[in-house]
Formats: sequence, C-alpha cells, structure tokens
Amino acid sequence: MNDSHAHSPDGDPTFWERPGTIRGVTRLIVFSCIVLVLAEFAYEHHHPHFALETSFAFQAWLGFVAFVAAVFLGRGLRWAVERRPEYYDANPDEPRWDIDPDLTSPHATSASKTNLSSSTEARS
Amino acid sequence: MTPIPPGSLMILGALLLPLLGRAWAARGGLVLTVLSLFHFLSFDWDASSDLVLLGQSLQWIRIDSLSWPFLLVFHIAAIVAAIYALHVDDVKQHVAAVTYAGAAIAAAATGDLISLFVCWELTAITSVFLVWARRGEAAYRSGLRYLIIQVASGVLLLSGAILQYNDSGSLAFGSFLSGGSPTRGGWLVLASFGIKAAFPLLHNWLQDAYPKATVTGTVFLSAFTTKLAIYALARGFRGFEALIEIGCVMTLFPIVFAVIENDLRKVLAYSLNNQLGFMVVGIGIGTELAINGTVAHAFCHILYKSLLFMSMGAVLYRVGTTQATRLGGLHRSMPWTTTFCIIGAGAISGFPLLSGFVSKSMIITAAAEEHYFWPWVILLIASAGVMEHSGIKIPFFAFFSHDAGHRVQEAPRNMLVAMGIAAFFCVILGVYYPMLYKLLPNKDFDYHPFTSPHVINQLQLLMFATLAFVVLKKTGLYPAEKESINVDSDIVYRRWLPKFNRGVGHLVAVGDKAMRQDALLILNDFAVALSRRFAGDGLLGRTWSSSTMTAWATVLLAACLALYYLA
Repeated sequence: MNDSHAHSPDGDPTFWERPGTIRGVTRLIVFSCIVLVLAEFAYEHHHPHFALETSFAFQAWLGFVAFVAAVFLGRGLRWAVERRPEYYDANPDEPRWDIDPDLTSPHATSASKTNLSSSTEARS
Repeated sequence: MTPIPPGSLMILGALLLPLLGRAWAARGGLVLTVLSLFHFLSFDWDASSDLVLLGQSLQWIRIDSLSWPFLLVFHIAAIVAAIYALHVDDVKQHVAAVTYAGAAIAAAATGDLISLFVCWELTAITSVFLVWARRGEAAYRSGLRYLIIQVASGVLLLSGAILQYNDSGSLAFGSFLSGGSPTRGGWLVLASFGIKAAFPLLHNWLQDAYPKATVTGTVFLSAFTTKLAIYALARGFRGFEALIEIGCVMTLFPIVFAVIENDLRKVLAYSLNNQLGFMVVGIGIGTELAINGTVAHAFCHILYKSLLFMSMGAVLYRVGTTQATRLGGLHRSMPWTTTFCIIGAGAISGFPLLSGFVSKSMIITAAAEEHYFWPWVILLIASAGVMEHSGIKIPFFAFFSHDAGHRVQEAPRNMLVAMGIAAFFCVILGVYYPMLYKLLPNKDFDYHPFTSPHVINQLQLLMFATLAFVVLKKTGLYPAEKESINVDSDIVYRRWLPKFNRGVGHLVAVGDKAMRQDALLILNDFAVALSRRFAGDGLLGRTWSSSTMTAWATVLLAACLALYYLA
C-alpha cells in the first residue's frame, strides 16, 4: 500500500518499502475485496431494515463510493479554503520547547534536524 | 463524614505539585490520578451526597449508571496521559493537566447545575494553560480564542441554570426537555453543551487549539472537554430529535476537511469532531441501545483517540513537526509508535476485534432499528470517511509513504508504555466486549456485534474504502499534501469580523472627520460674519447718531405699548 514512488535517501528500502511488498499488499487488498463480495452468498439478510440494505454488496460499493466522493469533495473544498501557511500567524514555524531537546540543541547533528531546517529554508 | 466528590483529590492535590519540584511533579501527578481512581472506586454504583450552601441544597456527588462509565474512563485516560507526560519537567503543565482532568471528573460526578457550572468553568480555565504551555505568539493567541469560547459556554450554562431555577424552582441537573423540546433555560444550556461538544459552526475552537497545544497537553485535551459535553448532552437532551441532524452534519463535514489537511494533529482534531457526531446522533435517537452505544463509543473513543494523539505527539516530539509534507518513512525509526498508531487507526475505523467495532455499530444499528434511513446511510458514509482520515491517512503519511529521511530515536519509554496501555484497551475492549457492555447504563439489552452479516458488511465497507485509496493513489487522483492551511468557520472571527470592525472604524473615522470639518467651516463663517458686523464700519461696530438712537428707542417703546394693550 506504500507510495509507488517510495524511495529512501539511504538507498536501502525496508521490507515495507520493497516493490514486492507493495505489490503483495495491493494484491491482498484486492483479493480480500473479492472474497468479501463472494461472502455475500454465505449469509442471508434476516431482518433488513431498509430495501437498500438488500442490494448486492451494499456496504462494499457504499464504502468505495463514499471514499471517492470524500476525496473529490476535499479537492473541491481546497479550492475554496486553501490559504498560505502564514495567513493567520506571521510565523507558523515558531520554535517550540516541548520537543526532543536533541532537535533544538545548537550542536545537534541528527539527520532529522538537518531535514527539518532544510525544509523550513526551502519554504522560506 | 461527608465524602468529597471524585476528582477533588486531583484538583486539590495538583496545588501541591509545585512543592515537589521539576523532577517529581510529573510522578506526583501520576500518583494523584491513581489515588483518585481508587477514591472513585470506593463509591457505590449508585451514590449521592448533598451539600447545603447559602441555604441551597446542592447535589455535589451523583454517581449513577450514566456517569459511572464516564468517570471510569476519565480516570483511565488521566492515568495514561500522566504516564505519557512523565518526561515533561514543566511543573505548570502538570498542575494544569491534573486540575483539568480532576475538574472534568468532578463535573461528571455532580448532580446540580451550580456545581456543574463551577467544574465546567474550571475545565476551561485550567485547560487553556495546556495550550499556552506551548509558548509562542500563535499558541498564546489560539489559547485566548479558546478561553473566550469556553468561558462563553460557561456563561450560557449559568444563564440557562438561572432560567431553569426561575421556571422550575430546581437546580437539579436532569433532562431539559419538556414535551420533546428544550425548556426556556434548556435552549441556553444546549448552546453551552453544543459549544463544548463542537456542534457545526461552534466547532472550530477544537481544530484551532488542540493542534497548537503541547505534545502532552493535546493528549489530555482530547480526552475530557468534548466527552464531558457528550455526557452532559446524554443527561440533559436524550431523545431530542434535532440532535440527530446536528450529529449527522458533524460526522460528515470534518471528513472533507481532514482529506486536505496537512497537519496530522489537526486531521485528528477533525476526526475527533466526526466521532462526536456519532455520539450526538446516538443521544438524539435516545433509545436504550442508542444511549448504550453512545456511552460505549465515548468510552472506546477516549482511549483510541488518546492513542492516536499520543502517536502523533511522539512524532512531533522526535521529529519536530506533524506536517504530512515533511513526514514519511518513520516506521524505520519508530516501529513501536507505528504499531500502536496502526492499532489506534484500526480501532477508530471499526475493524472487528478492535474497540470501535463493538461501540460504533450499536449507534448505527439503533438508527436502523428506529428506521432513521438517512441518518443510517450518513453514519455508514461517515464510517468510510473515518477509514480515510484516521485509518489510512494518519499512519500512511507519517510512517510510510515516501521516506522523508528522518532518522530519529523511538519515542521515550514512558510514551511507549502509555501508548501500549491504550492499545491494550483498544484490543481488549474489542475482543472481550461483554466487559464493556456490563458498564453501560441500560443493563437489559440484547446486542451481539459479532454476527456474520455484521462482520462481513463492516469489512466490506472498510476494505472497499481501502481499495478506493489504492486506486486513487495509483491513478494520482488522491490530492497531494500541500504546505498550506485551510480556513474553516474560524475565518469569521479571525478575519471577517476584525476586517468588518476595521471597516466600521474607518467609516466612523471618515464620517467624524467630515462632520468636524463642516462644523469648523460653519463656525469659521460665523466668526467671519461676526467680526464683519463688529468691525469699525460694521453694522454693530460703527458709531450711531443720537437722533437715530432716540428714534429706535421710541419705536421700541411704541411696540411695547401696543403689545401691552393687545394683551
């Protein structure tokens, strides 16, 4: 399920980043969806409350459609509500004290600090 | 001896925490929460105690089948959050957090509106320090907005209580419904509860303040304020049908905002709002199954939402950001945090054998049983939406997706222990659900979540939602995360009202200036006219001859005489 463009700065993908794993997880998802649709034949709706409930694989298509609709509505909403990060606060990247002291120490050399500062610089 | 209310040990004990110093205050806070749990467990299932104050009898302790599960889970959440905050050496934050949790517990254990108001305001005043403890301009301003809105909720509650007392002569905290709709005071109380329960358009304090609070502060905040409001709504407005529509809106709109939100802690805040919607619908339906579902969902939600906020807090602590655009690949460095986050994500999504499945389904079933078709459909759609923002987006963008290159340490041990406990509850409540069902207010109910249709249908919903994510991601249709913010209803009071205010001020200033200039011109013309009259050759300034004066005096005397005779 990983991003197909997954890459590692270390050049050493973990188990979850390997193309084979990503392919396997994708296939597993597709396979379980097929099994779950077939499972429709394995039980009966004893006491359906609504007619819609008895439509074939109702919750399967509803889940798919609802997810896609939410994503496309989100894309539409972004057009209306998106603003630059400084829209409200002059400095949205204020330094904070409650994070790992290693990150805020002036002598910190961790890759994380480098990444964080470089991404901040890139934005500014 | 008169017993003291549950939570009061925490409120009073927190005042002594500064005496312990920076090194021991956190441990002191944890001890207080554990002691408070034992104090609460010493009460009967059905306990009550009155206090006479200024001639008014106040029921400052009322423990019954509705408040008991809330009190228990509030204590569990407080203990878990206190463990999570053990590494923090900021005494102020521990004092605020323990007092805040204690006030929420005390509020849920009171039986009268005045005690409720006092605890209600105490939760507001103490919790704002968890936002301010973050320090910085943004947190300070956000905290101020939060405080104003929370205190407004308290003022509405007090006003409603006064009206209620005026109308009914009672300050008891019971149902505010009369003939299916709220009483006069009840409307004000509903507005008060609605603010804290983050009703649509009253909600934005939540998404504004929670992501700006400290790493540990947000974990405390996520557990208490909103769920206290849910408890209060269940107590006061059970069966009020308008809550069904309100709850439906609450479940839907946060999903869309969560899709495009870049800050993962803010995504969780939207997700919290969506989960509250399920509970509000349950209260609106009001049947025994629906109320049980609401209480069960609040119980489970407090724990899995804490877990999710804790996992994002651990990311923030180690990496320094929760912006999705700057995260990814953290499963390499933080495998335990990743595992716990996935358990929380599974629980909130409602995967079978995890806690959300056994609680959320009760509310959806209650909607179906009462033949609320649209609410039922909306709750199912919202369940797929939960899968999007909390089930997939949070773990995927933080821990997988593209590797952002962060090579950090795993979360501190105390954070891992706290997340482990919360994850344990997510699993144990999902598997041994009868244990949870025994705690619910209505004991005689027959509900079995693990039926074949139910399990298969739920898995269909979740797996096809996951399939949709895979399809959208593979086809590039899933919106990329962007370094931007999204305005919500807060734009009204953060931009539009100040702009309107400035506009009105400008108009007044322009009008005022014009009026004063006109007045000055008129005065100036008058002064010029006067000076002309009194000048050496002016009408009133030049020298008149005696004969002219005599003639005018005669005319005046004649006029007076004529008037005298006429009168």
